[in-house]
Amino acid sequence: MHDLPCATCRDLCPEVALGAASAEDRADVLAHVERCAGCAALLRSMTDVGDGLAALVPPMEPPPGFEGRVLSAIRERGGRARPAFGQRLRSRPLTVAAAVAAAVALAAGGWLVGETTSAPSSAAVTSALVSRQGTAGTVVLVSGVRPWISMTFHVGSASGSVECEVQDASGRLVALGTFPIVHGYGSWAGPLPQGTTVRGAWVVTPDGRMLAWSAISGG
Amino acid sequence: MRRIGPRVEDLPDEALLAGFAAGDPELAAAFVRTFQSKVYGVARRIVADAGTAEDVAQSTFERAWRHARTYDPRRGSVGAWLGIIARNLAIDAVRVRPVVPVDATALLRAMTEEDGGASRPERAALEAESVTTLRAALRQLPTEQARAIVLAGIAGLSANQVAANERIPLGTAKTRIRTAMLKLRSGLHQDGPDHA
Ligand SMILES: [Zn+2]
Repeated sequence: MHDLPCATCRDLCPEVALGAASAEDRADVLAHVERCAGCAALLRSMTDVGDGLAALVPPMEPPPGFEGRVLSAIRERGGRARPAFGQRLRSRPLTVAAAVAAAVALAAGGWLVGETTSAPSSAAVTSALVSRQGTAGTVVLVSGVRPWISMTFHVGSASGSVECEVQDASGRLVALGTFPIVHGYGSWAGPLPQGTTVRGAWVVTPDGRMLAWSAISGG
Repeated sequence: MRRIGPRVEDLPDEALLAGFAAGDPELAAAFVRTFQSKVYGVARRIVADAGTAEDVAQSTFERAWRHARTYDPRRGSVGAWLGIIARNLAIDAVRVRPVVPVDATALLRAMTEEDGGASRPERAALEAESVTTLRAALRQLPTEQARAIVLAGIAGLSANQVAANERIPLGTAKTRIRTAMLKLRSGLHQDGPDHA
């Protein structure tokens, strides 16, 4: 691996961003941008272009039966994936779809049980998360055999951690855990205790300041 | 909990992704239904053979399921993320075979003339700004530059392969790719100030 000069790195960035560079060039560029913020910003903006090009490709319907084949392939793999993950779930808050992956492990063996088209197993309720400044994100509650909650939070640009609590029908507060916020953005999901009827959800700073809240309409 | 609220089909993409990764049967089916034509479209444009394209599309969903935690909404929509995964897998699939000449004209026409086609109106509204801007910028490029960047960025050709496909010297291929990239980049960034 070479230590590239910036000019060489910048010449190679377009091909790296498009996925067209050789493995060696790619490795050199990625090593350089680890240390060089200027080239890193350039590569990121070019990667946005490369990624954007994929969005211009028009959709095309796959052959009949595709959806079922995808779901059954994943169902077959699902039961064996990450067996240890679920055990940690209850004691440790999870970020973004990590919780979601954990839910997969928890549901091992039960993944997509039955015909996907006929399973009336769950219902989702989406509510807005609001702050004093306005909309601050979304709360999605999914009821059913394995109820879970996901939250997306976006306020300002600060980084740090927040705590998330929900209130059940009896007014009891249930702490879901502490979650990271990066540049004002955070997203997490996790299972709810069976039978919890969620009336509201809060995002609170570690020192107790409420950042955003949501009144759940579907309780 | 009463089953009120939006239909599964009306949930935000992020919730569909979360449900898909969590193994919720209804949300998973809705997720695949929503994005399968996007994913298959990308795969089919890169991989000439329909059977391989379907394999690539299926692998795209498996990868999305395994790596749902790496999805970052600030980088783009769920559809765009899946499109990128499909592109990368399709390029890998093409790389292990002998390179067949790529019809850059047809590829470019598909990308600039057709409407990138979101399946739901509100999705189209969400994506419209950056996608429309990029499409307009691509249209304004000289044809040879547009062909070069699409061959590299969508068909997955290396600069060497772009040169062979276009019957031009390697240096010329690199210059076309780089010039096109710089123009598209400034097109994207002048119209839309950075926002998450
Ligand atoms: Zn540099």
